[in-house]
Amino acid sequence: MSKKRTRLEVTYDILQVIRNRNGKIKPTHILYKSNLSYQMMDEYLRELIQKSFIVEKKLKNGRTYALTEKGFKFLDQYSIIKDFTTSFGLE
Amino acid sequence: MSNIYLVPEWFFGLSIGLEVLFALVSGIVAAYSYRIYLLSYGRNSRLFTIGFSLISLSYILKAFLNLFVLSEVKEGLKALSIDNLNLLGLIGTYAHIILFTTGLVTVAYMTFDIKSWRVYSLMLATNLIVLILSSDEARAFNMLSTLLILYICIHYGVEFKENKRIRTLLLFLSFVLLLFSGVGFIIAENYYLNYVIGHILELGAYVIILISLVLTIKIK
Repeated sequence: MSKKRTRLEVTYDILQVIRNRNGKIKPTHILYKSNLSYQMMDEYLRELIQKSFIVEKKLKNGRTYALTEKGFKFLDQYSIIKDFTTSFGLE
Repeated sequence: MSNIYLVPEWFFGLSIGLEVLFALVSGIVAAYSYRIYLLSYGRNSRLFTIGFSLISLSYILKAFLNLFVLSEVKEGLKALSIDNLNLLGLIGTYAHIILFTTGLVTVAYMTFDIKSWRVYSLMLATNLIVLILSSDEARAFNMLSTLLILYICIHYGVEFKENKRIRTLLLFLSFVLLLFSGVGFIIAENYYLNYVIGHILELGAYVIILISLVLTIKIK
C-alpha cells in the first residue's frame, strides 16, 4: 500500500501538474491529475494562491491557474526543501 | 534561594566558549531553515526557524551573562544564585530562561500535528507562568526544558521509525543527548561535575546536529 502523501508532496504534485500544462490549467484537470477530493483541492489551491505560488485567472467559461515565479522556484528547489524537511522532521 | 548552577573554576572559560559554539550551531540551523521557509512558506520550517533562533539567542545571552556576572564571584567553584545577581544579571538570567523555554516550546509545538495558536499560547503561557512563579526557578527551568526535549525526542524517534533516514536518526540521537544533559543540569545544582557532563553531552548533541545539516547540504 502506498504511503499517504505529505502536504509538501501534494503541493509539489499540483504545481508539477500546472507546469506540465504549460503553466495554465483548469481546476477539473488539476482534480483529475492530483488525485484529491474537490474540497481538498480547493483548500490547496487557496493556500497556493495565498503563498503566491500560483495565480488564478477568471475567464468567461471558468477559471485557470498559472505558476508564478515563486511557484517555478519551488519546483526547481523541491529536492532541497524535501531533503531538509524530511531529515529534520518538519513534514 | 538555590543556585542556578555550580561551575568548577577550570571549566569556567570553556563553558563560555561552548555556549558561543551552541549559539553558532543553532544559529546556522535557524538560518538554513529560514532559507527553506523562503522557498516553501511551510508552517513547520517557519516554527523551526523561530525556535532555533530563540535558542541561539538564549545561548548568546547565557555566554554574556557568564562572562560579565560570574566573573565577579571569586571562589573555587563559581556559584550563580538569583540572590547575588545585580539588576543587569537578573534581567539577563530571566531573558535567557524565557528565550530558551520559548524556543523549545516552539519546536515542541511544531512536532505536534496541530495548527492552533490557542494550543501554542497555552503551552507557552503555562511554561512561563510556572517559571516565573516557581520558588526554585533553576530547577523549574531545567525540569521544564528536559520535559520539552523529551517530547521532541519522541517526535524524532517516530520520524526515524517511519523514514529510516540516517540524518533523522542523527537528529534523534542529538535530542537524546540533550535530554541526558538536561537531566545532568537538574542535578548540577548540587553536583558541579554534572554541569561539566551536561555541557559535554550538549556539545555532542550540537556536533551531531551540525553533521546532520552538513550532510543534508552536501548531498545536494
